[in-house]
Amino acid sequence: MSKKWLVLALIALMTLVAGSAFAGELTVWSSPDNADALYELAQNFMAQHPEVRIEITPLSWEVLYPRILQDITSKTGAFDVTTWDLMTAGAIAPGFVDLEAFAQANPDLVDPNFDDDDFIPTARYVYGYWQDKRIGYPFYGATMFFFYRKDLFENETLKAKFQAEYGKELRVPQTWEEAKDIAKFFTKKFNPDSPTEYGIALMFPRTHTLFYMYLNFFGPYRRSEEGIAKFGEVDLDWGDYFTADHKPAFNSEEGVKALQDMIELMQYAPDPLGSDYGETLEAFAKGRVAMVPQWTACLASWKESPELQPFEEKVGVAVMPGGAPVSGGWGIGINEASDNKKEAFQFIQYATSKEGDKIQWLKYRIGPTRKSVVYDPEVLADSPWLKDAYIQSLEGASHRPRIPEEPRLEDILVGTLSEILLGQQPASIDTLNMVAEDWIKTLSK
Amino acid sequence: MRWLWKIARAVLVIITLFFFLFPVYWLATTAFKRSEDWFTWPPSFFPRYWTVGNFLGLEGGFFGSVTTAISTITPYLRNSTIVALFVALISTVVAALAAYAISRFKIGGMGFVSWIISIRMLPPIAAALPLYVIFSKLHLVNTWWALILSHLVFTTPFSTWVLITFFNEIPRELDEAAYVDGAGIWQSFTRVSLPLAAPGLAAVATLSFIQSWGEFLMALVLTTSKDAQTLPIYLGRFITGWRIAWGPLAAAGLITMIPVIVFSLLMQRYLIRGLTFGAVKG
Repeated sequence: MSKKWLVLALIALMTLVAGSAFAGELTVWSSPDNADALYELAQNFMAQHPEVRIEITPLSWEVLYPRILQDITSKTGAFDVTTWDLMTAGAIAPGFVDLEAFAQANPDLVDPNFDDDDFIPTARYVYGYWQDKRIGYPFYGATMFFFYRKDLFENETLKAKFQAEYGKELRVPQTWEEAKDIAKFFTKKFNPDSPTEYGIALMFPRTHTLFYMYLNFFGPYRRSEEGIAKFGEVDLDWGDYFTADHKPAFNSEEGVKALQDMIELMQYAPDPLGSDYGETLEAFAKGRVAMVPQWTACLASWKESPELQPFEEKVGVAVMPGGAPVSGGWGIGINEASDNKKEAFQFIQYATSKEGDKIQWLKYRIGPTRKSVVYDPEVLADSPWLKDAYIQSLEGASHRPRIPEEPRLEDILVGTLSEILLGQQPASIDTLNMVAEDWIKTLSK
Repeated sequence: MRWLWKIARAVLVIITLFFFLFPVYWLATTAFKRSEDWFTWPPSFFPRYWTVGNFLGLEGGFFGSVTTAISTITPYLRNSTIVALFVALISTVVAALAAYAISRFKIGGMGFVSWIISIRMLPPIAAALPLYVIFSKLHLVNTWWALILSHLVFTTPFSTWVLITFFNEIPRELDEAAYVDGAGIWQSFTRVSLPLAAPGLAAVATLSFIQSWGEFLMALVLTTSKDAQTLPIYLGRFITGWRIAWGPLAAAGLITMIPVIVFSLLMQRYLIRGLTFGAVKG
């Protein structure tokens, strides 16, 4: 009896010992958005470097950032490489390797074909730098784009009807003012002959989505000539919510105008306050709306949607009205506490190389960060719209703050914005002033 | 009047069952829905077109091999199973020894008993970060041991508390009779009290297993790769910066639920008997 228990205990102990983590491999953390592409890139890299073993670990979007912070604070070195959301740059920068210094110290590891100047300038900075420290290479380029029903905008009957009613040509809106008329025209409630139920799908939920959606409307005012004169140039670390000297800029006439644009458009959208990414994606996929501001990640889903076939004829992509779409995207960097910095450096060079950048877009719709990839003939044959809309969007993008306090600022603003859109608070400078005061208090702590 | 009461009771049962079972039903049906049916208004309560694409990583556009193919679930299922089984086993053994000592010999008195259960009240986050630092120094981060030891912090006090009640209900005279027959304390414990407490042991083992199986925070903090990550962490991969991949998430959720449901059903008989043991004094 006791022998049997002893054997069982030994088996159990051996099982547990066998379960201990394997050391010496490259652990790459990733948001699920980037995981598939990284997995393929890792396979390619390992084929060229059989001495390196790479493990891709996807962590949910909400979890990845706190885990990175936890690890760089404790200096445990639980990961070697990770993708990081551009907004987190300021918070994570102290725990990441300065790639410029590392490259200078290890010239033998620098890929001679890396071509650093090939990166789109804005992408090179926002997905790579925090102040003067280069904490990553650009991995996932992203801004929001304006997707529209190409077939409806090119329909002669609809064009003639719009011309008769509004006295102007039906075209992809260049400004939010133009978008309002077109959204109304494509809303059945205001035009019973509309081929779509609503004009535009909007997502204004009480989540981080609202924080970035507001910038699509405020950005054009902030970046206009008057805006630059009033607030100063945009500091890419502090983003468009701030003036050049790091004071809130949204508690202004321009901030109120942006809110009014949003409120006016809401009547032409299906449940804008209850919709988020999935709902708006679906509304466009089902043909319920004529226009939607969205991220490029939607394209793969829409390509499969029966209502949007033939895809090339039905779906158009343009720069956001106002020309200042909010930026998203990811950089990729190395943990200061990593024991495998050399292998990690080689891998992130490959992952962000011209080859890697092209694979990411063509297979996984991860936005390119290199000019050569945007203008690559194969890429343009696949996505002709990139030529006209992509670099322009990225270079003109409005940015959220990348400072460490960003999550707290987001919480403060989203609550008030949501109440304004619900009609519980007035869309006024006084309301926005209260938010700005809270921001200043938070920043001064 | 009696039939009215019966109807009211039936309605109450139906509402309660609906409240608890509808999410499971929704999960199960969503696992077999195509991506265009994840968001429909009005909602589709039954898949219009059945698909196993959510299990194979074929539904949902840009998701592919790493994020939505259920073939990648195997290491996480293995980790969850091993960790939960060991937690159930160790927790039950330690708790049985502690509970017997407290019940029979009043070790530590009531103060000690209260202290044990107070550990159960500790918010997990309070232990998570210190444990992370300790385990990283011991090179235990990202191992099964890290999870097993941290889960034991929460399962053992509860198991001990439950088993104290069990041993209190087993007549002391049985132990004394064993001593008269020449048995020592250990033999009296293993040959007399332990078999009689079997329903209680099964109950606490089941509860420990379930707690460990669904635990998220410690698994998140103490593991970093598929070598040790468990299913609750695996499920997070379906939540991206843009969207939640509901179909694959439901498919993975279904696979995550099945083992614990089977385990609970197998132990249900003991669980009910164990949890009601000693509730009514004869």
